[in-house]
Amino acid sequence: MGDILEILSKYYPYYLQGVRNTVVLALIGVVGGVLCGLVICLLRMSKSRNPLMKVLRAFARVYIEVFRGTPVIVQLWVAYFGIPKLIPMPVGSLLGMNLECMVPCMIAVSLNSGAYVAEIFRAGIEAVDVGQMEAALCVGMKKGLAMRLVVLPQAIKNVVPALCNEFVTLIKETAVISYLGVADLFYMNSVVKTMTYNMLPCYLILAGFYFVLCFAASRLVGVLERRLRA
Amino acid sequence: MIYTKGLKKSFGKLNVLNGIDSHIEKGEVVCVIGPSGSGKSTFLRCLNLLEEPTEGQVIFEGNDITAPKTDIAKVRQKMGMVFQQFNLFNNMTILDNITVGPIRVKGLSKEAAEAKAFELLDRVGLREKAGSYPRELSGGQKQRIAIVRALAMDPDVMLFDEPTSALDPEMVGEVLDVMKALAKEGMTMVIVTHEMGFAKEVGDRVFFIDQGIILEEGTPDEIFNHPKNQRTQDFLSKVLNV
Repeated sequence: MGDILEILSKYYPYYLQGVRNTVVLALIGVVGGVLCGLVICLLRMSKSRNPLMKVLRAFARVYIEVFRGTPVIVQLWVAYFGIPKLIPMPVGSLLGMNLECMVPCMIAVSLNSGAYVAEIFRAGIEAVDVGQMEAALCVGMKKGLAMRLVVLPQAIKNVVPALCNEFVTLIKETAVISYLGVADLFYMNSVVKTMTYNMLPCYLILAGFYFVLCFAASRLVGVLERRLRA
Repeated sequence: MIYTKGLKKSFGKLNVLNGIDSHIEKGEVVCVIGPSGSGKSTFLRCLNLLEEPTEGQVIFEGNDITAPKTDIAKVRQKMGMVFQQFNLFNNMTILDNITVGPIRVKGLSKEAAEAKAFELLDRVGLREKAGSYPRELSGGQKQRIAIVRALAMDPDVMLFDEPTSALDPEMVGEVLDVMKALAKEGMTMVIVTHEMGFAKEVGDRVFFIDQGIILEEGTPDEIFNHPKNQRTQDFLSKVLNV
């Protein structure tokens, strides 16, 4: 216990920077995941007979299966080596994180999260009674408009709690990107670790920070959920 | 106004409609009766292509709307529909439920759409509910709003899919009254119903559908008092003698 307090009092700025960065990364991940997930979900659920849409629908299915069926760490390494070959990476740093590492990582995390979010959205949309869509069609709306005005606003209500949980998950999952040298909470702990050579207290501190973050986030989700139900 | 020619519909191996030829004239009130599972609702839902017929044609105001090039959304603006489960938009107030179609689909101004909405709300006695959400209304009120929502689009025909079947008995009357008033004004209506008394009183013609075909059709007097077909007689004796 003494060690923990000593390390904390001496190195807390490292941890705070790590906490901030982890929250930022999880936020970027969840926003990227939502955008990507919405597109994938709509492609996946499209019933269009247009040949192009059929191809895209098949793509969406494969996408979801591939991202759910391979480890995140593998996806990260593929992104890390692959993405800079396709698009030039920015140089410089953001909040003390090297952009050349961070950008491919966040693309990978967003794409990965998108696969899960797509399924969350699908469940949310399917939970909206089909009668809502039918009624919208019967006042002359086209499918897209009916989706936008009637179905999606109701689906989002269903989906917000699950999306917040995805955010909590991302807080924990983004720990893997420290392997690629992005200065998140896990990475900052490693820095402290190599300065103190006192492993157990460092990891306990790390666990404490992650727990507080996730616990606070899931409390917030609870509040939000009650608000939405009211 | 509406013709169907050889209308067939199957869901997988299940043949629900087995060739329906019918016509519905302008200003006519047609009641569709028959045992459950006979295809009444499917027939109605084929008229506005909520169900796509497997075979056959639906001709509405002279146009074959089953043709692939049809802009079905445009056609549906002219065909109001009222559902058994009301299907009011849960995320909108009553006023928005009524005006969303006229504003977003027909391009009416907000003022014009709301003026029309209040006029219709007055007719069903629900003006004070304009700001409420569907969940705050009783079943009978929801169904009256659903009728108003359809009327707000100025349809040429109104389709009713068992509009009173999901209602508590004491609320059936208020919905039927609205429909009666509508019939009196000369609205063309196709009504799938289990309310035999209503069909008798308001219907100009009655279709008896069984096993996916119109087994018998005629005036309410012909169908209810002098049914020719044995199955019609059996059905009526079952539903009228309770």
